[in-house]
Amino acid sequence: MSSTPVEITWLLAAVAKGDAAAFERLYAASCAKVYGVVLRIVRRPEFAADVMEESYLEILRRAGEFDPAHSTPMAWIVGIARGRAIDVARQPREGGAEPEPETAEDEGPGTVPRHQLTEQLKRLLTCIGRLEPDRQRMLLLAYYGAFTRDELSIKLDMPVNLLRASLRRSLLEVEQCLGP
Amino acid sequence: MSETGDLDTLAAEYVLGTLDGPERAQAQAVLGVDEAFAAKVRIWERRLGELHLMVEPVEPDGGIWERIKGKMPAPEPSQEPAPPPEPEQIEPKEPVPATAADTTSAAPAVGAVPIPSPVTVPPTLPTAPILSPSAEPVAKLPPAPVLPVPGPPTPVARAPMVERADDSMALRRRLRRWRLLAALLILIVLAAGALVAAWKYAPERVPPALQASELLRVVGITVAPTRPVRRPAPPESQFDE
Repeated sequence: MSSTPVEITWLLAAVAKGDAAAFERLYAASCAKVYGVVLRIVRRPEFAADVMEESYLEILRRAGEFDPAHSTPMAWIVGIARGRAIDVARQPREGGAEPEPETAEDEGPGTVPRHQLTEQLKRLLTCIGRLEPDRQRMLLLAYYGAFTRDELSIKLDMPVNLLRASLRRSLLEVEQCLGP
Repeated sequence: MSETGDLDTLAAEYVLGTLDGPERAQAQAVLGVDEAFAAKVRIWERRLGELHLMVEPVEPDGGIWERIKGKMPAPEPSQEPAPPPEPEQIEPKEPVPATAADTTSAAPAVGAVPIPSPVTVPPTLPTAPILSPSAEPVAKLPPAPVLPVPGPPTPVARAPMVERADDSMALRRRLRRWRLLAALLILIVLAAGALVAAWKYAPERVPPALQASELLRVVGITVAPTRPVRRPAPPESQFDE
């Protein structure tokens, strides 16, 4: 995915005007990242495909709402897809005991190529980096897998009450670190 | 919100994705009515949004795009390709000097008969009848190979999804038609050029039916035979003298 934020912003603007070709390009430029995010959360390709479909149709509908002053275009796109993926992941499934295929590396995040490291991400990672290692892991695991606190407490082998308190404190510290 | 305490934590956990089903539904309900909460959610989205950069991209199956495309609502009117229903309309625009003269081809035959156009139109799909109003304007377009001008800004109301799928097909068909027309025009121009060149440089090689004077006669203008250009092989020309 080599499209720059400027290109994707431009494509979103074109999509907002009803440019179907731009929408196809937008999909091509963003789908791999979005799919990677979604698949981590819903785990199953068939669910991920549903989420992709719904997400891109929502992106098509709401392209005009994107505000470059608020976020980067990819963060906006991923945000929509992520929201839908979490909704799907929270749906009760019949036969819910079905074991879900674990993603290869549950901890998730890889490394970011230096040229993609935005100022904002640098600040965020710096702030997260100030947390104790266990809490760093908890936060990142929570974000990439979108696990509920119950799931996290099992994964991290930690009583759920303690986890909740820890999560809350971590978020607060990150917030204070980032500033307004 | 009993468990999650203040709105800020709820917003943060909502964005982070750690709320369970009922909590999430609750948060979404609040989101719809509480602007302050919505603002907090936006702030957390901005704070955490860039974390996606660390996710490894995964190429999705190509069928997903097909599914999305199949469900796309009709585009804005300006995007509608406006497939012209009656392609035959375009033909009468055949240019005048239909005297394809390259000596080998069979075409040179008759002067004024419009050349049967090679434009082949695939059997028009059910999309065609949608917009009869556009037939007229399309036929009036100059024969120049303008790209498939998105028609006159066709006032096509948002067509239901089914037609969507055909749009690109129709557009492609239209494009092909214009291309064929353009190719045909180029051929005609080349042929006319060749004929003129032949008149000028090798008049004796031009078949009698294509001699300038003969063509003029066909059109109804008689000209006194021009000065006979030195002609080594007169037998072919029956029209001088």
